Amino acid sequence: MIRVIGIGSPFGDDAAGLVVAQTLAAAPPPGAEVVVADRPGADLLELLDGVEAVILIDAVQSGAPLGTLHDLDLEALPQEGFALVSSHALGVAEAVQLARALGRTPARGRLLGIEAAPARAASVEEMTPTTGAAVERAVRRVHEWVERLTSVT
Amino acid sequence: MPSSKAKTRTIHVGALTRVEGEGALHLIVEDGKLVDLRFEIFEPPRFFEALLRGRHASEAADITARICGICPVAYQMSTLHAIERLFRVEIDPAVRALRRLYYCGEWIESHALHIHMLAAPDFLGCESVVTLAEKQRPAVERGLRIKKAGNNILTLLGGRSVHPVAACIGGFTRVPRPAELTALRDELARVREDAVACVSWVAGFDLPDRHLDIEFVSLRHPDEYPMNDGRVASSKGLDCAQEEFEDYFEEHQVPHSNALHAKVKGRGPYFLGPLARVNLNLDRLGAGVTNLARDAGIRFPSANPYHSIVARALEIVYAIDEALRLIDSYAPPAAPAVSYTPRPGTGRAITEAPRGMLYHAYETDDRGLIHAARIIPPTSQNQAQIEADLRELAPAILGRSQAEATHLCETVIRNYDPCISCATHFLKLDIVHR
Repeated sequence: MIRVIGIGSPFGDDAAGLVVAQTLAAAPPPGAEVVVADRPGADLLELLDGVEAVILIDAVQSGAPLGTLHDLDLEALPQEGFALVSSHALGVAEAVQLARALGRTPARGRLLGIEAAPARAASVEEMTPTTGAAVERAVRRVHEWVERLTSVT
Repeated sequence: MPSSKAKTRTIHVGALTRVEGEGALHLIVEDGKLVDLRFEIFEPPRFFEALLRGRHASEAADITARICGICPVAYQMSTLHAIERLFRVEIDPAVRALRRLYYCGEWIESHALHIHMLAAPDFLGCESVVTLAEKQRPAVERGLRIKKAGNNILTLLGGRSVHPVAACIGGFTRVPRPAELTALRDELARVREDAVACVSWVAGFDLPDRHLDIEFVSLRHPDEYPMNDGRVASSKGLDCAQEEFEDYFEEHQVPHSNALHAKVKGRGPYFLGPLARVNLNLDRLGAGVTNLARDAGIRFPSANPYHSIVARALEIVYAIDEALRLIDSYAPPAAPAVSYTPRPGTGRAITEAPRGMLYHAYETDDRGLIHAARIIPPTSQNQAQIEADLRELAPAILGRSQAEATHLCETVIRNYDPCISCATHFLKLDIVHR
């Protein structure tokens, strides 16, 4: 089983991961379950547990052009140097790191990052058009990943 | 004149870690004396009291629940009790029992999170819960199991575990069938063992021996360990009705914090939270729980703030026992919620959030529209006490390295499990030694 997890708040570009997951949830790719996880904090640990593979979708900021899709191996997320700022800020990287320390990470995991505008630069109500336009591409990318992961399984 | 021992030291923690929200600490020590101490809450004000104005009373609980992702139940409960008191709503005893169960879920979840993910690393030489998980994986697994059992109560009664939505004026929008509650029973009974193990685990930490002159304040109820009801009581003899809170306690602004400070009128700072509740309500915990404290070798009442983590662990066991009792005696109410008619006036209520007393007051008109709202969260009430605690600690940090001094200060602050997001109206550490 592959679990597709969309992360984000409903506001501005931060919603990108949620919107992708909502779109996928309407017609889930065969062999995958889709979770619209909002901001799961420590509860992401539970979501990483008990499946063979996960695909996380989240808005990211790296300085790349808005709407750029980033493909990251969960194993490649930073292993060291994190200090948990607060439980509010138990972010994706920290939750994955804790899951790894607890031996709970699935055998395979990918993060699909969608380059987003900073909160202050974006409207609270809607995504910036460039980020919004990336949603459709992100949905297609998840379908491709699921297909590839299920054919290997 | 230069000397090998600097006479002035500054400790500045720019962003406190492992607390809920954003804050800082600034300390200046001059000739071995503390000359300035500021526990700064710079998380921006959130204006909830203002944005409640003009809203209908029925919307308030869903708005205030958004103040905190860790203790939304507390916000819902204080809001609903204040409004129900004003509208003279008598809730069904079965609904009252369900709300107590709902609160047990939040205590279990919030306390398990604080003990394992935020506080325990302090006492075990770990930088974070990730390093703790590498060293003591079973303990962290145990904490996560306990937390999950609390989450499941919230999900069932509140509709979801984060920002639950089902509590409303007069009751709940939906109440569970007995079979749904029974389904929680096995998991709670299992994690009770985990919670008992957690008490001896935290009591075994190398907790410093400190005794401070503290006024502990909590609710006290004639027959129950306090959650939703009771009078306000203190270790220095204060006793008042919830509605009289503002007669006995006052808030004031300090320039360095976006959260108001509070004190007992005519006295000073006071201490809220699990340690205060345990100290003032030992006789309401039941022998099963107090024996655990005795067996762990921690004596309550205790004026040692480091015993907060033990009090928190004891409260998890209590909340699990109480949840099991409530589940076993559950009979659904006649209706999920009773109807009500808005009334003009002011309603006030206090409930025991995981971090201590949470006071709400609402003034409404005859249509139930809110004209004024006042919210006094436990962390803002604890700020002055946290500063008093740090002032006492100051002599002990003088001979220490910057890193040790900072760690000591942060540990003292984390004893209070501050929720800065709630209080803003939290931590970077800045210690200046001159």
